[in-house]
Amino acid sequence: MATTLTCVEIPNGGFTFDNCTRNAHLEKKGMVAPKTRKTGTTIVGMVFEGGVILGADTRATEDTIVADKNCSKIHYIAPNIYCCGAGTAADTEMTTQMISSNLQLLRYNTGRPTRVATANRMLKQYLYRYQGHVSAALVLGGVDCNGAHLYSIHPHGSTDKLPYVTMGSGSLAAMATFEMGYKPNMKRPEAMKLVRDAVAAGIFNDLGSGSNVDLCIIGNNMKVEYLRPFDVANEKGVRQGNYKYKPGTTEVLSKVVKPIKFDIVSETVQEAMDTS
Amino acid sequence: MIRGDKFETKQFSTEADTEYGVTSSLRSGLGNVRSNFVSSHPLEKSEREYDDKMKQMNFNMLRNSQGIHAPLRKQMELTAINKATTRLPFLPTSNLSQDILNGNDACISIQDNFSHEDSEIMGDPHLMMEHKLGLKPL
Repeated sequence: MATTLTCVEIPNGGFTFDNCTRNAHLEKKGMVAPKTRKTGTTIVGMVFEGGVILGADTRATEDTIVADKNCSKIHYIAPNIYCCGAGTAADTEMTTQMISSNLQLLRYNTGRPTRVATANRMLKQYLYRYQGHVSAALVLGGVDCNGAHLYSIHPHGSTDKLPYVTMGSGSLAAMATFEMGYKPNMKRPEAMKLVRDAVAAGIFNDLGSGSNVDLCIIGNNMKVEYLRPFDVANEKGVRQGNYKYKPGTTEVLSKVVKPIKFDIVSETVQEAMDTS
Repeated sequence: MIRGDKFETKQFSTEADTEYGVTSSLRSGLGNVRSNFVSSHPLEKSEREYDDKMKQMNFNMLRNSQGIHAPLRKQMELTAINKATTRLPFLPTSNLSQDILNGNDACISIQDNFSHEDSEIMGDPHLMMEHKLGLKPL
């Protein structure tokens, strides 16, 4: 039985703002809004001789609590393009998944591999439309027919195309590491170590970042290596003692076994539930 | 804290609910006049107008690059489809032809994430037909 609404036009879909007046009213009365899960985070990207490396930590926080000790912040966009996301976790996930679907449809339509500039343009137009309310700060990296590209995309929709970028709450620590160690056209092991060091600087010096370092290397041949975890920087401690008592600690003095007599009063067979 | 004067005013359609220009409390309930003019969220106005504005922008660009005939033809196709294939407003439609003409058949947008496709709500047929035909209550 359908519920009927007294509206004169069916709304289109997308975001609705029906509850905003109610929420404002409630907040005036003293209600505290629930906190969103953020990936207050360290995400970095770097172009090296053989392609592009993206690095990220793996902690997701809800205000001051660690919500997820090992979350994955490097999202798939296209076979040759990956994107790290900082900010509200739901926003980064949904945005990257939507753009990824759109790019797949575009690939079906045109028959050509995706370019990183296309992904960048789609993301920036989407984020600008929502004026920063979709809180997603992204590091987009990939390799296409024109070479390796790296973009940083801010929540309000501005983008920068740079050889090395960092975003998130740990971005200052990571950028300091990059500024000290970056050289153009680095070799692969050197580049992986520098990205690992940058993310580790964020992990150890920023409260919003922690746990492990994930790396994603997109090579010039468009081969992707997703190393998760690349480096377990924070091992969880091993318990040193066991407080359980060994069986036999308490001496048994006597044992009495009494069987409980019961009669079967009735038997019924239950038919299978109709779950249609 | 959301304060009304920070946000632009909503622009509801200039036709009032009823014939004599007052809001009908039977239809829209008792409400304050302020909520008609003050939006609760800065994005409300821009989201409501987004599709129309994008279409305008695209038509303008078409007109500038290809001449007046290009948007005219597109507009003609859209009008023809609207006349031929739209159902009554309260009936469920897939809007397939309109989607193809607007280029949305190869796109996934936020409207597909939060869509009313599978919702179990329908609009009241009488109200919707009256709105479509421009009949207003007294």
